[in-house]
Amino acid sequence: MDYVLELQDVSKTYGHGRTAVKANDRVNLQIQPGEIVLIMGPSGSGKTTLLSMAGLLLSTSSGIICVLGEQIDHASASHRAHMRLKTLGFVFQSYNLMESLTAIENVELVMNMAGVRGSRAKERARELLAMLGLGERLDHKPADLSGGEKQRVAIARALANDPPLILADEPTGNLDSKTGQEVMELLCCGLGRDQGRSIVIVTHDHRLRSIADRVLWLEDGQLSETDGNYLPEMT
Amino acid sequence: MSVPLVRRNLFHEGGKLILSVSGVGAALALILLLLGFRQGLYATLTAFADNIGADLIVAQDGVKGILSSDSAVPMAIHDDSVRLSGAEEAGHILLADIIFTQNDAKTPVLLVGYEPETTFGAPWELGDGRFLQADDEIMLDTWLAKRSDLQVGDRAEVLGESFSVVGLTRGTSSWMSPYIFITLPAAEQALALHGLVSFHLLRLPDSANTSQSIRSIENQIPGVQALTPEDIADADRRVMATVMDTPLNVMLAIGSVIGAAVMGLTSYTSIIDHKREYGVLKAIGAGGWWLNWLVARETLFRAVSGFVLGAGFAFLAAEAIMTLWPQFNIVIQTKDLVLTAALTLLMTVPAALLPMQRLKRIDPVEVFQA
Repeated sequence: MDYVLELQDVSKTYGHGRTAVKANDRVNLQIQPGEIVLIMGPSGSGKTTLLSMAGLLLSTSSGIICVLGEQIDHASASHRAHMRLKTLGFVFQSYNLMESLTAIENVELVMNMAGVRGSRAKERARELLAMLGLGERLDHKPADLSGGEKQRVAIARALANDPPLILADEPTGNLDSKTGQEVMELLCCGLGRDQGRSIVIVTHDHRLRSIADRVLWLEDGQLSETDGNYLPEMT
Repeated sequence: MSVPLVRRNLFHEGGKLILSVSGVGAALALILLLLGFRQGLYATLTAFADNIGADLIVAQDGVKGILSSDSAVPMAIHDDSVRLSGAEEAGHILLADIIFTQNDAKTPVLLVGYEPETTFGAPWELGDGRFLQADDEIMLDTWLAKRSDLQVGDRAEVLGESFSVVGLTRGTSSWMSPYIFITLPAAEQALALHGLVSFHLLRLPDSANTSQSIRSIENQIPGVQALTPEDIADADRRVMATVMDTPLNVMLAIGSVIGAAVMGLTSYTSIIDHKREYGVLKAIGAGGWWLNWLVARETLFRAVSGFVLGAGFAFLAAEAIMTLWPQFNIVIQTKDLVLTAALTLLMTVPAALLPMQRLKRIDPVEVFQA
């Protein structure tokens, strides 16, 4: 079976010789279509490194990464950029919206980058933002939006090119608990699982366990499966 | 239609945009003003030769120009010059570099003694008053008159002789040395030169063969040569070019470097300011070419806006300078505008390359760091 994302024995080491630090050690991970996976672990456990490699932003030291069955870890920078644009959506803790653009333009932009322009891009952006409850805030710039609204714009942007996989890094980190829960339910249920989209979430937020299909624990660079009910200390 | 990211980025911080465009505009205005200054310099430099009214100028042998060398030829060759050239009209002028002193202000001037009854060597643009009619009258360059606090009707002293100011002339300031005009007899008297003039001026009939006339004069009158006004103007231009072109070209190069540096720095600063946003774009999947094209368009916008602003400012500044300091003539020609526009486009290349290199080094992984 073709996984949406597959990591085989992926390792990442920073530095050389005696100063070398192993951030991820022979990590294996398979994400199925429509699956929602939570990756948790203490600070410094290698979560961001793992997400960066899965997001084709960081090269591996060893191992294989496949996206939609295509081995991509040694692809050229331009091919990896193309794959990120077409098959991956990113949601960041600090939203990372373009401050000079309005909400709708932030969403349209990634479609423009993928070659979708004009009314087609605008209509899809409008539709996505309306689904996320921002139909009345289309022309507002990020500075005029609340944290929850910004994260919803970021989610719309991640979904704009209809990618099969979303990678989210601490998506509720800057949101209050109620807003965080609302945003994640929208992303994971309405726009994720229901549409066959896979979502990998790196988080410290225990409350998100309820919406995940699987919870993985990353510690000392090694990934292990948990049942989600018992988690070691997050310190 | 795509999201106008370039426009949005540029106008998001209006203050920075104004500053950067102004910086580019100032550098380009400097370049245009220098080009205009050089053009104006040459225009005024050759104005006398261009307006001398003669087809042939008989000068002392070896003399190339009016401003670059002194000429003295005997008045006695008048008849031979006319006969040999077949001229239909002839006149004479006497030129001398002197110091004009008025109200303790000393100004180096070019004294022109001409014959008012002919049309040769007279001022070509009257600003105020009238032309000379008598030997005790003088016409002054407008700027010189203003500097010397003289008006039509006042009296001015030249080389110990007193003259009545009857006219003020325009376009008669050859770079820093303005012209004053008196009659030829008055000039002979003031300079104590009798039987000598600087140049014989000849007007040939339409049917005349200029080359033949030149050969006849030079072959048959010893110690003289015949030149056209164009020869004179070219010689004066060449002399001035050897003096002025190098420093002007250096200043133009400096202006170009400043312009490119301002453009490059503002683009570079913009990349640094928006480093995170560019990192996000890279993370999302923006390719190198797409991002470089973004930087190129932003740089180009600043350059083109700077050019428009700079050109407008240069024209206004030129007018202001010529009003405040009439001795300066600034002529901004279409070809200078085209040259500066081409230079502007050329400057965007190094100005865009530096920020592109910086952009290349932005690591998209940084976007995961909150």
